[in-house]
Amino acid sequence: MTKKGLSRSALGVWEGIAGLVAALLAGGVLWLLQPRTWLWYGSLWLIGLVFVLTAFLYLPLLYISCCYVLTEEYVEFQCGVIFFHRRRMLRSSVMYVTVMKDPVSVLTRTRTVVLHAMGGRLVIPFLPVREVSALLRAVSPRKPREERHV
Amino acid sequence: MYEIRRQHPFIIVHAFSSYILLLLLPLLRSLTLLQDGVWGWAAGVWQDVLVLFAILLFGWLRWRRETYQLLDKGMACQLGLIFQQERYLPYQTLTSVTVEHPWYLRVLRIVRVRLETDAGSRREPDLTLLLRLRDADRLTDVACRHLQPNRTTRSYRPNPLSVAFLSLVTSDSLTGVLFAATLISQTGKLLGKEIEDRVLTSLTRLMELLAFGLPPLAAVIALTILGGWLLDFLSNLVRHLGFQAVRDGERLTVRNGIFTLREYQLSVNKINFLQLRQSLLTLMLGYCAVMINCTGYGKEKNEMAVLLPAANKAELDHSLRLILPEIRPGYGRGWHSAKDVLSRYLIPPLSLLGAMLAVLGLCWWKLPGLHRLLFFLGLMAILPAVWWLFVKIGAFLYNGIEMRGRTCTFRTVWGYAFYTTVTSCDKIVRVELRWSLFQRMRKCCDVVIHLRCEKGRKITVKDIPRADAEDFLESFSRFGAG
Repeated sequence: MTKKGLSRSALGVWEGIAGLVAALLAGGVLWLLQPRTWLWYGSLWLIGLVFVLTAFLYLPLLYISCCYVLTEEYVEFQCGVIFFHRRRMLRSSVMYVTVMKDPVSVLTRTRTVVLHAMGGRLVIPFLPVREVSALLRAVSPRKPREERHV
Repeated sequence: MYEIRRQHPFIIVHAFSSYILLLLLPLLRSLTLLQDGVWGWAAGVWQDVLVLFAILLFGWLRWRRETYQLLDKGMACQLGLIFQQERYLPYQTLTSVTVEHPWYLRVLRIVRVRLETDAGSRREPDLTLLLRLRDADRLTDVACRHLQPNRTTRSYRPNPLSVAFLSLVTSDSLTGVLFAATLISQTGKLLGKEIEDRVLTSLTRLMELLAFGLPPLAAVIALTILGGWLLDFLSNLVRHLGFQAVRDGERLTVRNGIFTLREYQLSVNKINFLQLRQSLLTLMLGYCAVMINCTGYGKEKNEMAVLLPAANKAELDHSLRLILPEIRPGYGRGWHSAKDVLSRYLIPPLSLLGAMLAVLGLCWWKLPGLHRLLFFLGLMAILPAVWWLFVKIGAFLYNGIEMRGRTCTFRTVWGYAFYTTVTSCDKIVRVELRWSLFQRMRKCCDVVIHLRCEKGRKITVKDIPRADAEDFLESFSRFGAG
C-alpha cells in the first residue's frame, strides 16, 4: 500500500487564490460602500478575519488531510477538514486515465490525474510530476513505457 | 520512439468554423461595397482581419500540439493548448469506434472519428479526431483488433421501406419544429436579419395559402405540428437510408446515411441491452423497430441506436439469429399484471377525458362566438386522450417480465410507446420493488430495473403481483450469482 500527500505547491496555490479572493472582496467593499461607516469597517474586518482563518488554519489543515492511497485493489483519495471525504475506485474498474496540465501546474510542476470509470471519475489534483508516471503505470498497467508502436 | 500522428490540418479551420464564418461573411459582404477602393476597405476591416488571423494562429498551434500515438494495447493522445490533457485509452475498454463521413468533407477525404468507452462524459465522446481516411482506417483496424473475427461474416440490409417505416414511427413534431427554429435563427445569424425576415415572411405566406378556411390560430397550430413532423421524418429518412449491419465475430459493424455516411464498430460484449419499440398501431400490426444500447452508438444529437429499422416477428427472429444471437427476446408468459388492477390503468385516461369534456362543455356554453375554434381545439385535445385510453388497455395486456436462462425480458409502456427490453442478468445493476398504499391494498408492486448503461437507464414494470415480483427477484439472484 502506498500513501502519499499532495505537492506542497498545492498549498501555495490555494493560499494565492484565497488572497486574491480576499483582495477582490476588499476592493469591492472599498469601491462600493461609504467609507468609515460601521458597514464599511465591519465588512473589511469580516473579510480580514475570514482570510486569516482560511489562510492560516483551514487551508493548512486541508492540505494535511489530503492524500491518495494506492493498493493492489483500489485507488483512494481522501480530503476534508469539516466534511471529510474518502473516494475509492477499484483499479479493475478504471477504463481510462487523463493527465491534465494548465499554465499554473506548469509553474508548480504538478499535474491533475483523472481516473475515469463507468458512472464516475476520481480526480487527484496537485500530484508532483515525478509521481504521476508511477501512478499512471500502476493504474493503467496496459501502458508500459516500453510499449511498441503499431 | 513511437510514431506521433496528427489530425488533418483542416481541423485548424474546422474547430472554429462557426466563428470564422461569422467573421468571414461580413468581410466578404463588405467587399461588394468597395466605394473607397481596396485601401479604404482594408482600413475599415483591419480589426476583423486581425481577429481572423489570431483565430487561425490559435488553430494552427492547437493542431501542432494535439497528437496521438497508436500503441500495442492502447492509444495515447495529447489534447488542448492552454489547458492540456494527456489521455490513454486502452483498446479493450472501447465500446464503439465511429467513423463519420460528413458530406462537406467527403471531397477532401477527411472523416471524423469518435472513440467511446463506458466511462467519461455522458454527452461527449471520449475522443473525437478529424483524420485522413487512410489514418482513420488504420486507427479502426488497430482499435478493433482485439475483437476476435470469425471465418464467416453475416450481413443484414433492410429494404428502404423498412427505413421509411422506422422514420414514420420515430418522428415527432417537436424535434422538427426545433430544427426549423434553429435553422431560421442560424440563417439570421450568418446571412443577416434581412434574409431571416424574408424567410419568415415566406413561411407566413405559405401558411396563409395552406389554411383551407380554418381559423388562423388553428391553422398555425396544425401546420406547425404537421410541418415539424414532416421535417423530422425527412431528416430521419435521410439519416438512416443505406442502413446495413454486419456481424464478424465479436465485432458488429453498422453503416447508415446517404449524405453523411456513418460507420459504427461495436464490441458485441459491450452491448448493454436490446430494445423493441412499438406504437399501439405497430403492435397490432406485429411490427417493431429494434434498438440496441452500446455506449457511443446513437449518442450524438438526432442519432438513433438502430439495429433493425422494422421487422415482424419472423423477420426479427431470423435477423437476430443472424447478427445478434446472444440477446433474444422471450415470448413466453412470464409474470404479468394481475387482472384486478385493470382499474389502475383505466382511471388516469378516463379522468383526463372527463375533465377535458367538462372544460370543453363549459367553454362551448360560455363562448358562443368561438364554436368553430373550440370544435377544432377540442378534437385536437380529445383524440390523443382517447388514444391514450386504448394505449392503457394495451399496456395492461402487455406489461410483464420474463426470464429465460440468464436473459431477462421486460415489457413496459411509457407514454404512447411500448418497449420490450432484453438484457443479460449481468447487465442489470439493481432491482427495486416499490409499492404505494393503493398497490399494497391490491397486493401488487412496481419492479424497477436499473440497467448497466452510461446514462444510468432504469425501466419500470408496473403493477406486477407481489408474489410474482418476489419470484422474479429470487430467479434473478439465482441466475445472476450463477
